[in-house]
Amino acid sequence: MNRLLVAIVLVGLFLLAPDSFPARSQPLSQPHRQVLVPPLTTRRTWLPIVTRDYCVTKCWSGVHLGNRTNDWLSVMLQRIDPNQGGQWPYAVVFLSDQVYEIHRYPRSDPYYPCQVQYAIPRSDRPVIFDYIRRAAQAGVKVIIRIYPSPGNFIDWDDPAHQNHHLSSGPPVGPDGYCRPDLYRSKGDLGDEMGAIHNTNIANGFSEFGFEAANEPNAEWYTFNSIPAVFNRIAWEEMDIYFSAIYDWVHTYYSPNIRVLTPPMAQSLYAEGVDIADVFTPPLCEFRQLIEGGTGYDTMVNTYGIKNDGVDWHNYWILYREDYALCPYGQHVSIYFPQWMKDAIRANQKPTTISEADLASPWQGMGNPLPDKTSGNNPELAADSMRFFFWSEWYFGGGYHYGVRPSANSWLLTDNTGNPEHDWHEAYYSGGLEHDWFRLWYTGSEY
Amino acid sequence: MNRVLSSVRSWLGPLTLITLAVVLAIIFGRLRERAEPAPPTFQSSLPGPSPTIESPLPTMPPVQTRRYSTPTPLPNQGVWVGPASEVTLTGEDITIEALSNLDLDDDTLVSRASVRGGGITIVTVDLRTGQVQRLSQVAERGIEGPRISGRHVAWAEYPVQMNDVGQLHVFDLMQTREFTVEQGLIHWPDLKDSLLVWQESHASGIGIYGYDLATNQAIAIAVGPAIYSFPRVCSRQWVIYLKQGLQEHWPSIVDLHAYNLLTGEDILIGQVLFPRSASVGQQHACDGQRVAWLGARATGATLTFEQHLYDLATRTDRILNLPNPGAAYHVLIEGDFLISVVGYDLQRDIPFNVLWGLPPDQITGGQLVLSNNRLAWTAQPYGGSQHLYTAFIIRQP
Repeated sequence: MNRLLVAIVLVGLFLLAPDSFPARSQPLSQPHRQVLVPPLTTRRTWLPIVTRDYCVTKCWSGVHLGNRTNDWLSVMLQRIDPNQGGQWPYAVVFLSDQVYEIHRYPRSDPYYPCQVQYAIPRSDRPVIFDYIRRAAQAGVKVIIRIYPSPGNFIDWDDPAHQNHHLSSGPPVGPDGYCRPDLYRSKGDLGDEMGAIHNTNIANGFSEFGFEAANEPNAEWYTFNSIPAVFNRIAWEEMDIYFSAIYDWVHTYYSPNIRVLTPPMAQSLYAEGVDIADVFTPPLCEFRQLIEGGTGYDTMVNTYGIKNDGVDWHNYWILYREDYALCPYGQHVSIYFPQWMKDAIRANQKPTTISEADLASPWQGMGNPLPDKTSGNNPELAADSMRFFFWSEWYFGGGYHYGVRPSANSWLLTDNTGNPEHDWHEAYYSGGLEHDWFRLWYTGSEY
Repeated sequence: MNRVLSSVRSWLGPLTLITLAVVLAIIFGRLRERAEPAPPTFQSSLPGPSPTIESPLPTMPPVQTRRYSTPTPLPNQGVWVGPASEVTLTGEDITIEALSNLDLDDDTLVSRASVRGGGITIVTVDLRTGQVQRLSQVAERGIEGPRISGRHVAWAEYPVQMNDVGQLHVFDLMQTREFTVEQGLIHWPDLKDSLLVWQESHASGIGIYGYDLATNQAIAIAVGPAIYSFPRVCSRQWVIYLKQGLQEHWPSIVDLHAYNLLTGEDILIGQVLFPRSASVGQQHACDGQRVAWLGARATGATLTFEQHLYDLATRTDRILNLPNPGAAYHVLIEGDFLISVVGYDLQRDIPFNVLWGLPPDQITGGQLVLSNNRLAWTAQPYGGSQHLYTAFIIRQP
């Protein structure tokens, strides 16, 4: 009888082995030769039967949960919650202040004035926290972007940013840790990650990882700041700052906390090629810092060894979904510097597009799809997203950088009155679902 | 013997199961090897495959070529760009890897040049001969500009290690000498008709300043509690620039102003697109009395882009009837030609194709400049080497 059990267990183990799920990465075993037809035609002909419903969650498609001034409505989660008949996404992304309250020591504390003491789930957001907890327990990757994250600039009180140097020391302002809305040190950001991780563990789950900031090249710098976004020193200082956050977390907190790279805004000196430049020849203009090189090339620590995963954002226009060089495709990752692709592949760093969508008119990319709601635009939008996400997963993760990424739709819902966010959202503020989201999310991923 | 047989029988059932397990494991193992998602077998509602393109980068891993469709060219209405010719650089003891930040004045191109072995310099290129002239030492540094007009070339230069403070340099091509006009927190130099303008930060704000190289006079153009940026010299009478509030970190649109150097008059022309990307500040240009600018009008949930042409003499604005993809394209204007999403002959009110039909490796990864009826542009396929081309705009008599 025991032998029978052993045999059954053996069969079960084979069937349930983790690598039954789609491969996260596939080291390239063939020379890097350009082929116009992917070398997979014959051996994939019968696979849909095996794999179509193989993932418990979505296989690579995730959702950014968005911004709310109050709790999420349950109806907004129906597609992504099996309890409501939906399917788990592969990942969810959200802002820390949307879900957690960060409690700080009193200002009068003799040792830790205003420093992070602990985090708890927000009492006014039970719906979204319950969803996140259940999602994480079901295997969904939960990615938390720390907010606010204003940097730690010594000219924090100058709106013109004329001495805009980023400090990797203690908080730069006179109120120390008491004004995280104005300046935050590496330790303050790291402490918030640690506090949120601890409360997650106490609630029976763990997040997948943290992003320390959002598009810092765009949110922290301008063309008029000094240094400006095109100055090498700005990127050097960011490299030191984000590397210091990584070191802080891995020195003082659980080694299980993943510090992911900050996602940079595209076409703003990080990747060196303007992939939005697809209409007026010469196309795809090179964009280098005024001292030469690119932003990523300057941040070799942050995007090389000092991370537990590489994150970025990607927006594109209709008909540029192919994983191909600009102007035929608009995938940011194809322009990662080679050393960065090698670092991802060699260290098998998890990869995440934490914001991904068709570009809105405000992004000035010339998207021929003016909206995602009228006529047959919902079908076009859903189809475009499906194909872009698959292309990134298959060609980007499968070949170019060697780790299969998740791609997260920007965004589920936003009721903050931002018209640009409204263009992207899956649900109106009142809970009515956009057709594009239903078509995309309930359809096949490829 | 019986004990042996009994023992065999007792193992037979489990052995069969184990064998079955192994067979199943092999089968499912093969399935796992193939457990990648299928190719895109879904029914696409998008157009079918585009023509196969040659890969510009032979060492790249697989990429796709399915969805891109070639846009439709404009009909030829008697204005077109003639054949492109490549310019071969000669005459300097340096090997230039790449030209960037191009500017053009008649046949003379000026550019920042990245030199093999490291370092950056400023060069001019005679587009008729390819003759290169180096205007500065090769060194590691930051460069904004250069700009060329007549006998002068101007650029802002920043030491790599202390790049907050820049120097505004001018090279006199006739006297072959370089001199410094200003030192400070300088950005965006522009030069025309011996008038040099730039953005500079002072304690009082971020303003637009100028220097008349003909009269050696300094000029304050736009100062005050705001951020003034991206100045362009239209003529010795007019300068245009962008204005945004001090608290506006990265607005979608900003005010476009014109300043009359003779009278001190300041005109609000309109609201120009201010994209949050490296193409910011390239959506407005001027020459003489004409200002070309890409307007952006927000109405409710939509944003409308329009190619404007403002006449500083008559103070009138008109919207050109051009194909408009709603993208933050660059705007150039010189003489009777405007180039934005397509070319436009202002003399005849005719749009025309620019760099149409050239192979991808001749029109990607570079920059286009215009002077009179001459175009010059660089192209550099990703991972490849850079080439410099020139062509003329031709009018049918």
